[in-house]
Amino acid sequence: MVKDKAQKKHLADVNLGFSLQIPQGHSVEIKFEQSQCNFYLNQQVVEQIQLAQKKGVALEVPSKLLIYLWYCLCCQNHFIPNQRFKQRSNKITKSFFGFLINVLRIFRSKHLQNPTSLQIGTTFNSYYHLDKLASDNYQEEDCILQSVVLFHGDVMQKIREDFILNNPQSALVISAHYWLIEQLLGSLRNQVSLLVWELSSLFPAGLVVSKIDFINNINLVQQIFLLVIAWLGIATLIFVVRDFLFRLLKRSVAIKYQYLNLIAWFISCIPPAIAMIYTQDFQAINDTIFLVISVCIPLLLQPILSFIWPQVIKLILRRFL
Amino acid sequence: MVNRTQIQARDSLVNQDKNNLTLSNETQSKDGIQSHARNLLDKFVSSVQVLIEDITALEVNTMVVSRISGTKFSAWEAYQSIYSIHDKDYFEVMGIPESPELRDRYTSLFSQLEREYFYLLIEDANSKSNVSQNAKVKQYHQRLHFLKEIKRGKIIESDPRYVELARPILPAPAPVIDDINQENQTNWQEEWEKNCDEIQELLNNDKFVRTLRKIIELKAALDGGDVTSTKIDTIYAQTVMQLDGDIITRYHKDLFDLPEDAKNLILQIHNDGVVAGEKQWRGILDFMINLVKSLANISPNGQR
Repeated sequence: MVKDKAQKKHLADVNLGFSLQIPQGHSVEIKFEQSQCNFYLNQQVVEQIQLAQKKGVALEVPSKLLIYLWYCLCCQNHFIPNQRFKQRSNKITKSFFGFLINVLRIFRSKHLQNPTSLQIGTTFNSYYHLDKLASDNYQEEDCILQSVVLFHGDVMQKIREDFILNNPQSALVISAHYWLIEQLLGSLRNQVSLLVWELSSLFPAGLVVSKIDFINNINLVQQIFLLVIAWLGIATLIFVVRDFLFRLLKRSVAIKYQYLNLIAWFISCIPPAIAMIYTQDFQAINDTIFLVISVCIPLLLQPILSFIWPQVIKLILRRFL
Repeated sequence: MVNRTQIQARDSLVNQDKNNLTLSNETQSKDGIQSHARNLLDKFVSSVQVLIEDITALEVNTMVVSRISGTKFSAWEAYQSIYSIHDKDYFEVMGIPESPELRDRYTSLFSQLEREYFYLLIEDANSKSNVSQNAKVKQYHQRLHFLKEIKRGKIIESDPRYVELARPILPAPAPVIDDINQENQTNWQEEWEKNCDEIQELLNNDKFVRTLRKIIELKAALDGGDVTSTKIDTIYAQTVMQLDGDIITRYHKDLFDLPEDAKNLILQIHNDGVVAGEKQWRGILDFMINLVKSLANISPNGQR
């Protein structure tokens, strides 16, 4: 059946791990093994989830995970291991980059042995252990819940017998399991917002850089070069600070993560603003207006980007199709 | 709710179909990655279409099981394991207890898969005729006839004519070698390769894989934690939501023999599970339908 070499390639299995921050709590480990999604729970996490559930706070699902979830729901290939010719080495990639390569390879999959098709179902497993463990240390006996969702309208909820008989907490764990799935699938309706904060950081950084005076004895090219370096450097700094603040806030404050994002952004904009005020040629009115604008940039950028991204994808697809 | 989703989906699919028609004419000449990506998206859209058409009800089962296996579903392995049920030594080798009821349930899984295959064959036969397929259809029909005769007691199961017909019509996942020293030894390899190709084609058929997936879940339930015990995993509660709005909930009679606490817990789990299951399923379906919709918008003729 398979004659030429190029056709023997398979998609590598993708096993990715993510950790999701529960609002005001620790993070829950989530691992994807192709079409299966595993949650690793412990008593503490379950209690925190219950708290978040009561307060009605949503889980923040990062864009990375979202993109991967899309992939999991859409793609599968069922193949017969080709033992007639050669034992296939089973490749497993654990990096996000490897996963992106995989996606590209699907589009070029005339090189693949078999066509990729729509997934027929997806499985969510919950592992539970009283104490906190690393996700690799969970045993198969710890798998206590399984939800199998077949897309044509078949849902199977499996619960371990000894778990519901012996564990007084079982009802809580089960509701945490349902909640996590709901949050994950609910996030499918969210739009992926890529690069919003990265691009936003460029604005205040640009303002600060525009105030820098260089000594006159270097030429114009060098000056521009230095300015660009300084610009990107400051932007990266602002971005990193914002990211750090966001993580910090998520752990301690229980409000919607969209607001948290903005709060973190405002705070990280303060140092550049102060730096600007103390430069020599600070013009009160003009610069204040610019400052206010640069602080509000993400609010503007978000709708603009969510308009531009689909257009970009459209353009790329139209090029190809 | 289910109804609304379906109507939405049909609308967008109809649009997509129109786009496809006009598109396929335009892009016929192009090849390489372009046509491949085109095929991929077309396949995706048609898969969603088949999926939506086949939805008749949402079924939520709550099972209490003794072991959950975390291994992922592999269509090929599932096919092998269901096919092997037909082997006459299967029950002895696996050590499945000698309870006629249990064994019957195992065999019925195999016949279920075979029936699905038969339906596929008939569907296929309408479009293209294939000698070996026709022979299989004929064999299946005759076998059904003989089964009737057996029930009436006219012939016995070991009748050579019946034994010949009882051979599975499903393609074998392993080489079939009747007699090793026979001269047609080169033949089996060819046969097997043909079978493998046919299985591969089956595994690319969404409908077949769906049935396979369901059957392998049922088999796992029959196996229970330990294959050699008569204990099976019980589906304690099942809720079926029909498209026309009927909701039927069934409970296993063993549920009411359980201690009060456990019973209440299972009932609560099931109720939560129904709500969650409906949300889970609808979330995924919504996502797919939206994806198809946006694909329709992306295609050059799709601007509304």
